[in-house]
Amino acid sequence: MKPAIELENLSKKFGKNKAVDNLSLQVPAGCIFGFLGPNGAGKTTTIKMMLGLMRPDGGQGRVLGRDIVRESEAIRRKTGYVAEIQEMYRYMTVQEIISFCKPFYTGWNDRLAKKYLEFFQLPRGEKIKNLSKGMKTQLALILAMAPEPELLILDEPTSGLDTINRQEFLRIILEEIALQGRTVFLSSHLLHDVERVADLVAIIKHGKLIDIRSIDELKTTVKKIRVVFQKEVPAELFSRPGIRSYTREGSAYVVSVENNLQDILADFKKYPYFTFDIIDQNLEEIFLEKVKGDKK
Amino acid sequence: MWYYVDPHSGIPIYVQLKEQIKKAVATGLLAEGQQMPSVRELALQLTINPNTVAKVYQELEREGVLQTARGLGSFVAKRRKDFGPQQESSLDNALEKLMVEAYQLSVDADTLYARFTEKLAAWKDRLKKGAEGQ
Amino acid sequence: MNGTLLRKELRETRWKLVLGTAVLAATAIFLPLSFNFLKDLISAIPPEQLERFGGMMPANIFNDYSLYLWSQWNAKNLAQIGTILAVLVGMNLIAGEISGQTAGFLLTRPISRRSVFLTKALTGMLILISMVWFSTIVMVITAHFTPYTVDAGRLLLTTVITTLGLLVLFSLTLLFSTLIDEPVKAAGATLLVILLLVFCGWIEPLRFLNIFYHMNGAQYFIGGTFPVVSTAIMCAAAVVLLAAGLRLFEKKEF
Repeated sequence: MKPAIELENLSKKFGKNKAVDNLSLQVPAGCIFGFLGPNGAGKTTTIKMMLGLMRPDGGQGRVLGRDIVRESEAIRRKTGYVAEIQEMYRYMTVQEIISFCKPFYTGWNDRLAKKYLEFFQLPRGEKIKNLSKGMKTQLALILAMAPEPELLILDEPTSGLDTINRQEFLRIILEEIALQGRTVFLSSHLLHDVERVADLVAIIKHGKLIDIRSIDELKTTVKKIRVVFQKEVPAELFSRPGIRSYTREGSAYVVSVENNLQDILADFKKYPYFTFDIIDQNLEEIFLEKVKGDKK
Repeated sequence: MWYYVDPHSGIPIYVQLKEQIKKAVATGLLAEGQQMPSVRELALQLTINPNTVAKVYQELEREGVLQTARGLGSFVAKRRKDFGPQQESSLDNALEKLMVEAYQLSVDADTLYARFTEKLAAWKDRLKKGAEGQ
Repeated sequence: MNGTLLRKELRETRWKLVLGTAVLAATAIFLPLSFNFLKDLISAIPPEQLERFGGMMPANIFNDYSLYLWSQWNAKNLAQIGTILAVLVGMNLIAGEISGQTAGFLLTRPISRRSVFLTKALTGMLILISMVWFSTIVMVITAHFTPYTVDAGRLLLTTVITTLGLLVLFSLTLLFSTLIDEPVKAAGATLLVILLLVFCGWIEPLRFLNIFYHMNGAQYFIGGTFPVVSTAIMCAAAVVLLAAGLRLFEKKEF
């Protein structure tokens, strides 16, 4: 299947600051893609380039098979977008903004809009300026989903929602987008949500891609090994590819592994030890380690 | 709901879910021929990625724990009676790992044997109780 | 052109439309009816005293009712109020989306930048034209109820020229609304440029820079010949300003 998003050496500078720096990645169609990075890592800039709000300085990108610079309108026809702070026309009512958006699209799903207006208990007659932040996010999600997009791009969507609403929000995305075989691009620094639903994650920092892997793979290969050897072991043991770093206190080692876990384990076990623990790392731990470590 | 996953653990969600289903089958909580919830149902109930659920079902099918009837869904498979070379080698692997581990922990063969027999007896007991419970 | 965006723009501008129409229409009713009063007032002043009023209101305009209406409407009130309305209508069109942070929402709909800009420009022009023409027709109708004869055809054709001038000023406002992200500042910048052009126009060789000199249609109304050059200059200016605004908008990042 064709990838839903392909970015190739995408770059964007603001003055001297490289917001996005030679970013290349592919998002397979039908997956939930977690786009992770600390604040200011270039996540929003990347999204804005994918949607034609900004123009790349270098590189290129295709979204749903179309060029992000030349075919932006066609991309937006099939792409739903929920921004972190989605400002909409404040004077309009919920019904009015729906009536405003609907004519832009050919396949607007009224039933879906109605279903979720009722689900979220959003009153059609209420003015947008009177909605809470969470309600605005819910409305923005409805407006993004009603055209039945092939791709849903969410930029920090859940930051305005409480825990229960976040879970609901994710479930709706699973039901209406993921289960329909459509693609979700979920940008966030809130790892809990991403960890729950994403297949694939990319971690970016200073506009650069640090890692891109499936969550399952990350969790099965990125581990810490805590080992106390019985005898002195050769230092080369810790320079194997896949070992990211290690700390030593006497004969006790804590080794951060990010690849080739099985080979490394086999190597280590050749030496007699007193204790040997493999410590699982959740996404947050993996993320922090990567973001902290990959300093320029 | 029997299934529970902790997305924030360091163990992948698919591993957690797979283990739970295997455990449910092994303990008889899921009977032979019983229908599994659909991928959609389970994904929405647990709020996890449907691809993850599908992956678990696929792997369990490959391992002979589940069976999928096209268009009907997944069912708990009949316990496999055949013990072919593939099954033999995975058993051997597991046993070898156990012995390597024991060696590294400086556990001698007799102690290992004694512990093993003890655990095996307990396991047999549990299987029997499970069968009576049904 | 985009229907749903057009409706939205009309809605956002409706209070300006109502207010502008009210002010222009009130003026349009007042002018024809005050002819007698002003004529009596002026004739009561001895001619040598009248000199002191300078060219503000030459006495000869009271010999010709149509000339009076033209001098008070196309050359004065319509041009002045119209300028303010052109700026009022244009200032929010682009800058309002940016200061209200709604640009990102609008531009992530499947619509091209060009279509957004042209729809907005067209809506603004439509509103401006309706205000100008509604009030001008009100004035001509009111004038018909006075005992004087009025040359409606000539007044209306002059209003075409005035309208064109107002569209140039609207296009200038739209350009500033694209350039400056704050509607009030965009309006201020536009008015500043207009004033600058007026001041430049005081110096004889630079008179062509004063847009009001072109849009009052004096050459046609008094001189009798249609101002082909002025009309062409204004058409060109409007097109250039709109094209510049569009280009700027297409390159803008949000």
